[in-house]
Amino acid sequence: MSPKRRTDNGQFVDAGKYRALVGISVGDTDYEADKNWDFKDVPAKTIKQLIKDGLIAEVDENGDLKNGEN
Amino acid sequence: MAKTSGLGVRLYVAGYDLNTDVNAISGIGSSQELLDVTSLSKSAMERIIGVGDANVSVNGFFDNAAGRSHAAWTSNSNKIPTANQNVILTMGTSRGDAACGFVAKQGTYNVDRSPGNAIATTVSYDLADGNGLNWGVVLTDGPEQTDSSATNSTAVDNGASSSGGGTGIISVESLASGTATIKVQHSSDNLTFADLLTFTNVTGRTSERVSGGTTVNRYVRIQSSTSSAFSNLVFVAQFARL
Amino acid sequence: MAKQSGLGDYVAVDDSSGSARDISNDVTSATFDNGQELQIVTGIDKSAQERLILLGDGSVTLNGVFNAASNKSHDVFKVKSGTRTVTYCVGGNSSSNPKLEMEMLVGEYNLDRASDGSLTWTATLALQSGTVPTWSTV
Repeated sequence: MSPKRRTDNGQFVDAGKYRALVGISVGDTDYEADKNWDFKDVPAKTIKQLIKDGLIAEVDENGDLKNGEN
Repeated sequence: MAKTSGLGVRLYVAGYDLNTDVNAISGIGSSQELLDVTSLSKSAMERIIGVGDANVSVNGFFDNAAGRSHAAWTSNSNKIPTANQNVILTMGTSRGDAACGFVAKQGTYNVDRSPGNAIATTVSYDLADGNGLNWGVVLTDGPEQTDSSATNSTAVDNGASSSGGGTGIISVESLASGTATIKVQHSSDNLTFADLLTFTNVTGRTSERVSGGTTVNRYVRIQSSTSSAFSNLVFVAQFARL
Repeated sequence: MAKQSGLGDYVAVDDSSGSARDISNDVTSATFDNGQELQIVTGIDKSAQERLILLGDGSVTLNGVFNAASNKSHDVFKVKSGTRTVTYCVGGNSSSNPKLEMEMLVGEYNLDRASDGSLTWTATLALQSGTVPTWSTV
């Protein structure tokens, strides 16, 4: 289950700075697709590559994709 | 792999391991029509590529034991199957060895009783789905491997990424219990993997071909994960970059 | 050059990306056909055949032992797309040896796993370019 946080207006949204657009696996951890994660165990260079490859995307403070669609 | 013998060649069709019943295979590969487009201005033939095809012929020994070749080759209620058969042929038994896969119709199942010989069988597989026979690698090891529970298999290194997507075929022999999810995953650094192809959840003997993706990163692996807690998934996976 | 055996010959075929690959050590036998259609145009006033030359053609059949090492025969033929330069040098790729080079398309690449355990392949190629195959030297 992806971690949640409470926004200023009282909503509970997925915590995490990035949306997994497909399932992501790191070591023994599987990150479910279409949920937000911080990917703390992934190096910054790899995160950049994942964004470039269209496999993850940045989300805003409401947990929505920064580039439009939710 | 250097020049190799055929001692590592293995055949898996529609979830059946046929290797104990088959002793020769021919036509592993494919052909394509070459069309004459010679114009008036040329003094020699000009050609372009036309339709591709694949036709594999298998010779074996009759075996009526449970789950063996007779069951595979008469899987349509004791008749030749009419459904598409997913065929995997590996050129070796180790992960990363060359392997091809295609979706076929079984054209024949002929049984030959000659004096002084074991009962011989001949089966043909002809390309059926218009997608061609694709050469790639085997992602499992053995090449048939047993995942006792959810497993991330070692990745196969292509040396570089590719940009035409990929196609994968799984042939699942058995699953002792539960439900398994099998995926082909890819990675640029062999540490963080992303899902590339996801197969329908598996509960027993089955096979499936899935294609997709655009960029396929350098490292590709097979992953079995838990849909509901499973034990002993026995399967082969082949993957080809397109 | 006097009469030649086929020992020490050289054959290279482009892979699907257009890079020439020396597959001489994988090929166990090869045929390089280079012919032209001949049209009989014998007039009723002749007592022996008259002919004209029509379209030329080239075809190659290679037989070999399966090799999936990098840039060897399996890497060359596993994808059948693309025009391939096929180069055959009698006596090796050196010093004024006779050379036949053609632009071709792959027709088939098929493997046989025989009952004796061997794994062999056959590849066929046919002329693509409309250019008459011409012998030159290295």
